[in-house]
Amino acid sequence: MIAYDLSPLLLSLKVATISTILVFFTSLILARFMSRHEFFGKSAIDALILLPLVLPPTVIGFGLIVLFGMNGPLGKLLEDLFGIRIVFSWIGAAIASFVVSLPLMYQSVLAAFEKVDPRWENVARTMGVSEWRIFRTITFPLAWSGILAGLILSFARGIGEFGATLMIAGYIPGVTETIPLAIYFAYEAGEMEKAVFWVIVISAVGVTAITWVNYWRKKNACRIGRE
Amino acid sequence: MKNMILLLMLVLLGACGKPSTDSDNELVISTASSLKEAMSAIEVEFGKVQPNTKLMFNFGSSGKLRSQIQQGAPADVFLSASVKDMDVLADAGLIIKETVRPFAENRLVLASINHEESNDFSQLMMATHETIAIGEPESVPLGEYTKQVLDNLGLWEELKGKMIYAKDARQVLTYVESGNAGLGIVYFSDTQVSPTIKIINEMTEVQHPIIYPAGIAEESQNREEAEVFLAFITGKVGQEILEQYGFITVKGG
Repeated sequence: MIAYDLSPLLLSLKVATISTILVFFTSLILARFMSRHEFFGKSAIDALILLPLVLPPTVIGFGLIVLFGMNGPLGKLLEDLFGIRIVFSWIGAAIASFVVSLPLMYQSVLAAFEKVDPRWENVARTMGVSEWRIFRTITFPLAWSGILAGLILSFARGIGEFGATLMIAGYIPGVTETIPLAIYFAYEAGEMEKAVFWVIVISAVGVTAITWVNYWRKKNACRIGRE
Repeated sequence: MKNMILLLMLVLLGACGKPSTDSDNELVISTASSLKEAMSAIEVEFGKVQPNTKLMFNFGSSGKLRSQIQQGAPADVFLSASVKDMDVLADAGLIIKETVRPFAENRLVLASINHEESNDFSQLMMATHETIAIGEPESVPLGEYTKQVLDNLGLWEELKGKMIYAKDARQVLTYVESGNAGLGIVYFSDTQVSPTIKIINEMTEVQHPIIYPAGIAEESQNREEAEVFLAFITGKVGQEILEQYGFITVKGG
């Protein structure tokens, strides 16, 4: 096998890991809040979170460029305040991954919370346990398998992000070159072997993710069946 | 109701099968992205002398257009920004060798929207913390020429990690125009179509002149019209338009 520069793999793992961690906490907070509160405009916010699922990646990329570009409101702010540049950096790639994987995670967490029987929580409440402790020791552990499936899907979606990433992070070899970008530019340059190499790598990641999710679903189904 | 749908389908089918008028010929022209504006102007002028030939431009990097033609994409004419891509197709018998001719030349410049003119552009590029936009060096001729210059100056390795690769010459211009890349290496002709972009310095270190060759595809069903088109762009009017858009004209055709 020909030796390739493995930096796209490391970068993709870094981008997907950071985005998945952020997605994890954001969706926990969002899902918890949305499942317990009714307020005006709730369905609009719900739709906004889910929107990236149905929008073409170019629209997401365009939106990110407008927001985080050198002349965009957020881009300017971050550059002036902290000297952080989002556009054409790996942070831009992480943000793109975050936006596209958030709806997947959000839906998984929401579904996982709904499956938790409220009686357990209520029993705890009658014993005077704090809400935070109920969440930590009852709700979260019971919802865990659903959340984990969401995490794996988010990671896989994040690592595969291409369209929005290309627009916001661009193609700087060694700096913003994730695996999907490496495949695209290897193909463009006619380097078919290199493209195939990365296709195999990313497919392996995808297959592993799906196998895991299925495994957890099955395990989960068995447990529910027993109960 | 059923009859209505049937009728509608028949009408639609009829519309699909309707042949275009015989006098109109479509010429598919795979064109290097840097020629975009110049070709719009040429299309207008060409339409005046050849109203029955419709020009269909397919813009992209010459490397991408080359691989499209290699994979059997329909094209009558190839207007390339590099001799290399044209030669590959000519050697493979996909472009008729005898029809290949240069029709324009170009040069490289370092450009920006906020930097002033400077003679010491090497120093400027080394010192900057901004991103430098260039063409992707494998598939975009602009990138290939850029790499050549930076190699000659001993800057290529130094600037790695600061250079963002664009998919065609036009995207380099967009990166610079939007301010998302502080500097960019573009064609002189590109700076002529952008009101905001400023030339910092000409980059004269290219080893060979940047020649744009034109050629007719072996598969073309419109060889005659293609010949007329090539004669037009290498003729007086075509050359004048190209010059107007910042290209260097070629003598003799």
